[in-house]
Amino acid sequence: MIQYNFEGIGTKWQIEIYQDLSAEEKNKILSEIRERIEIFDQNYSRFRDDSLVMQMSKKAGIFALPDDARPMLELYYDLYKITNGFFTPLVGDILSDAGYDDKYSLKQKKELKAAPSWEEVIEYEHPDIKIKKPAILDFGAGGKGYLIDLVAGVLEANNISQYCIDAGGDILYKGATPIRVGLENPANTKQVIGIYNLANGSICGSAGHRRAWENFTHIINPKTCSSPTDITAVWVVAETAFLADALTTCLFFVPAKKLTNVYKFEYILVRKDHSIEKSANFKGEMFIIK
Amino acid sequence: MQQDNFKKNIGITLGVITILGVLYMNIFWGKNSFAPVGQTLGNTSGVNPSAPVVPVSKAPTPATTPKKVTVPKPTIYYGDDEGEGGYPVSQTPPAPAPVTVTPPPVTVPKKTNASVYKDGTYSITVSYMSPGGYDQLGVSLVLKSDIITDGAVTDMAGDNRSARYQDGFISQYRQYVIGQPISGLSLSRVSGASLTTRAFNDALTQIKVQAKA
Repeated sequence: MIQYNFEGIGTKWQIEIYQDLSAEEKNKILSEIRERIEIFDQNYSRFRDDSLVMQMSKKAGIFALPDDARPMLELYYDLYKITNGFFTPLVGDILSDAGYDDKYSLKQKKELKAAPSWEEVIEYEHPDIKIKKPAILDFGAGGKGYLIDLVAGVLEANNISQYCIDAGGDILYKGATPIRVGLENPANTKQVIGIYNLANGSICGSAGHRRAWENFTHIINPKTCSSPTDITAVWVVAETAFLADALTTCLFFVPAKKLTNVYKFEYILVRKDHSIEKSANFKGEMFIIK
Repeated sequence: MQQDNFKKNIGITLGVITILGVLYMNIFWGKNSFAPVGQTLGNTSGVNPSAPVVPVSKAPTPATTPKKVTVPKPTIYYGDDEGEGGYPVSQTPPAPAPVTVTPPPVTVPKKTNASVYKDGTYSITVSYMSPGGYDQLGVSLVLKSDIITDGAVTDMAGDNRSARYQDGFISQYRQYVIGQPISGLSLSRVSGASLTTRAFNDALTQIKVQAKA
């Protein structure tokens, strides 16, 4: 079993490959993975001034997006419509002004303004994106999941078909036997509140307790400009990490039934009173108080 | 003449049987069906002649309301790890400090020598009249040694208004989770809030220092 550990896009990655590789192959694949992540970061990171999204935030104009932007923008737009604007890339300015900026100042800088509508800012016909008013696009809600899928693509292109990619707790797994994934207790990171046996597919979790400051977490409602307090954690299981990741954010803001007849997924969410709400098809085993 | 009498007698007999049947259903089976919700009817006989007669599944005997389950408040431990933790378990982690977990207080129902209720799953379809019309709600409970160990309510509302009220009721029926220590569970991985890097953790530490100043 080969294991890679490194940091990327602001979190810790651990990748396991369930087959033997020569030292040469092992190094080649690692550098391909890291390069793929670096390119993604260069394009979509809010946390570096030289990125494409930060350039797009400075003044209106037409920009050419890379090929991998297309599936991302398409799902983002679909979810934007389905959630009535609660899921949107136009939260970048709110997050930054609240303190989650490229310097990690974690201090609210100015009064927060509700996110503009998609149509007010974006006109997209791949590969051209017209930014009508300068705005910071943030792809944090689904970008990590999407990148996990892209990294899986790198492995598959190298004829690796059994692996586990874990980016800070968002997981994509392809293997012979299911793995036991603990669901972290949002009130105590040394505990879990349940276990999910993951066969091929992805489980992604979202919770605010690691990135919390003042009254905020990195999950901010684009209409009220405040962080949800009622729901403390959400997990989604889906075929791809992109879908699972994006849906966890959606479920902080809209009821599941808005999404269940459009996408195939399982979910569970935890409220601050420790009660849970889950889909009928959720296969995890939770530790319930009797 | 005899035939007419005969037909008349049959008719009367059938009529009587039907009425008796309706009365029987109403009195012995139909209590749930005909309690009007917040409405007073013109007649005071207690039977709504226009409501459909529907047999209601028999409740478990004796027909008392199920025992209320007390949900204890869990003891919460907040991590002191400044936002980092939750290392992937397949790496050999540093041995965590032993955490003494005080189990939450649990209400233990008093046990009698004999079980009052037979173990098993009990289902009932409750029918009721609402301003939106006639509606149903499915309830099922699992009893084990006189304790409700599981339960579910099923939305069966036909009318939209009822569906909203039923959704509200169903959504009030909740289960509560409790944490178990990671060590001892043989987990492959842990999923939760994204792990942070040193850069972010340093920023968190800084603002906490500033907040204390």
